[in-house]
Amino acid sequence: MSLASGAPAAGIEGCVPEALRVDDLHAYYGESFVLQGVTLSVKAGSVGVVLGRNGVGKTTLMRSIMGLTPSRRGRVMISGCDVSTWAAHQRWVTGLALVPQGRRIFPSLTVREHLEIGLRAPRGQREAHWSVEAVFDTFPRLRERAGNRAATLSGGERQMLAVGRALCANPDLLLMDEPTEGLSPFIVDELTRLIATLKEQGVSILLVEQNLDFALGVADWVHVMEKGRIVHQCAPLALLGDEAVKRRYLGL
Amino acid sequence: MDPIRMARASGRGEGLLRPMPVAGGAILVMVVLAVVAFLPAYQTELVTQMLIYAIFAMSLDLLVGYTGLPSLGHSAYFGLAAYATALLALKLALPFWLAAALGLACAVIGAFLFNLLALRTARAYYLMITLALSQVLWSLVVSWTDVTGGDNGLPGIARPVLGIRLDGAGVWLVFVALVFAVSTLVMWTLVRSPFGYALRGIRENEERMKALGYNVWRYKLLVSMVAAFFAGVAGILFLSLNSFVGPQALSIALSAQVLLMVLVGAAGTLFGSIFGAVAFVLLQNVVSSWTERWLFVVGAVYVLFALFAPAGALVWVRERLRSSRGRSR
Repeated sequence: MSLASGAPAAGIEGCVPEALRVDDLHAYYGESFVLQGVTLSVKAGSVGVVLGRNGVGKTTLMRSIMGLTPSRRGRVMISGCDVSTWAAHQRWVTGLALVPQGRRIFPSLTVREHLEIGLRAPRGQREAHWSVEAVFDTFPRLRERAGNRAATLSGGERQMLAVGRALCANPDLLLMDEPTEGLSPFIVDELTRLIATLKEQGVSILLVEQNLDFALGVADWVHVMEKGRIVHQCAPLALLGDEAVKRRYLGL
Repeated sequence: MDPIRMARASGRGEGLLRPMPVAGGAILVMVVLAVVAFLPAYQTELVTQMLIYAIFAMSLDLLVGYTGLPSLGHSAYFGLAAYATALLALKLALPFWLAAALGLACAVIGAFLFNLLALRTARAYYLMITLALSQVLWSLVVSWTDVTGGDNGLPGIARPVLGIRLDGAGVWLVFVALVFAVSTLVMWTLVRSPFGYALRGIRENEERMKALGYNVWRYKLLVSMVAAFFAGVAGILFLSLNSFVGPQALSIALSAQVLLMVLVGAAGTLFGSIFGAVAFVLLQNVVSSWTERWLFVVGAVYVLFALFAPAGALVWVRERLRSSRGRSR
């Protein structure tokens, strides 16, 4: 498989190319409009965070970017490549990987089998940072449980596995859907460090979060979502001081 | 920790399965030799039947147990290969091996075509459409009497020659056991390969596999063709065992029986299907020699399984072993 439509375009705004651009994206579930024209972008090598209350469409946004929920209108560009019409299983070639909400793991597969299923060579000239062993080095706990079925893992271990599986794809753009949900502070710290490492490796990240401290700690840019739209965007520090936005959209 | 305990701990939950290929091979050789040496022809044929049904059931387990595709039309490939081989050998006078190879090709192509339709559906609908498609073949065979002999089937297919004539029940059993061993090894290797992990991933979360970049549809199509190939192998062996093929080889009854073998043995374990096939042939033949009401007994056994070991015999035994091991500690 090759990239269908050309090489990644150079940056449109400024000189930093965009890892992800979502333009006026609309998506439905049945009759109800879940995404009503979402527009956002993530610059290459940066961490974008989407904040918002439950049910504003954050997970649907992730699924639409991944191609799992069909969009009715709008465009998804990954590294300048329009993937809007591509099936979900074709989108990985652009370097896209997802850490799904709720650690959707395969119960009967062992830890090692999970990671092997996710293995992909990196694209282009990029270095292969991730392999099964590299994931084990990052999460030593997973090495101890390499031969165990995922059904026997704890919540924290499952989250590590879900993250590790996505990393094995050597992604250029990583989508993470509420990775800290239900995790102990210790593991959240580990995730914070991991995200810093990924940034150093040049991976771009789009993160959906409810945990404000974690989100603002890792974010380069914050998008606030409400009723299927991005209603506010700013730098993380600006949001910290903006009580009005926090109260109105995040219920804080 | 002593090595045995360690080996057990690392095998976790698969202790019963892991030494299977070696132990299984040894048991197979011993059983076959013992049967050939000591048992009369009738019992020898029963063991042959068990092995043939075991190949058939394992091929269905690839779909039902590993990929989560509940097919109720698996006899289509069994019968298609058997009929194609018989017709090519009888009407075109092709040598048996060539006819068999073409028969297998028919089963695989049949699976490709059927699944272009069937894979548009999932779960219960997949079950219904596979049933319907296999019924199309069945009714074709029953009604096209000029070619297929209708209800009378096609008799008179001689057993093949492989250096020596494979005529005698004992020689034939050895040959079938060989085919069984190779088929089992191939399927076993397949389900333990990355292809096999992908199948289990599809069974457990199709969407997640798509997100990981797997073309789920292509995997399902491919495994359907592999399953049809081995169902075809079983069909052709069955044809040779009886020197006959009739519409029964394409019937719903056969599809349902093989599905029961898989479920009773334990779907998704491959070896459970072997158990299921052995149990089925034993029940059918041994119980029917005691009582006319053998179907009643078979039905009762299935009900007992559904109530007390719904995950299948192998899983049931494995759980008993594990809990008794836990208690003894």
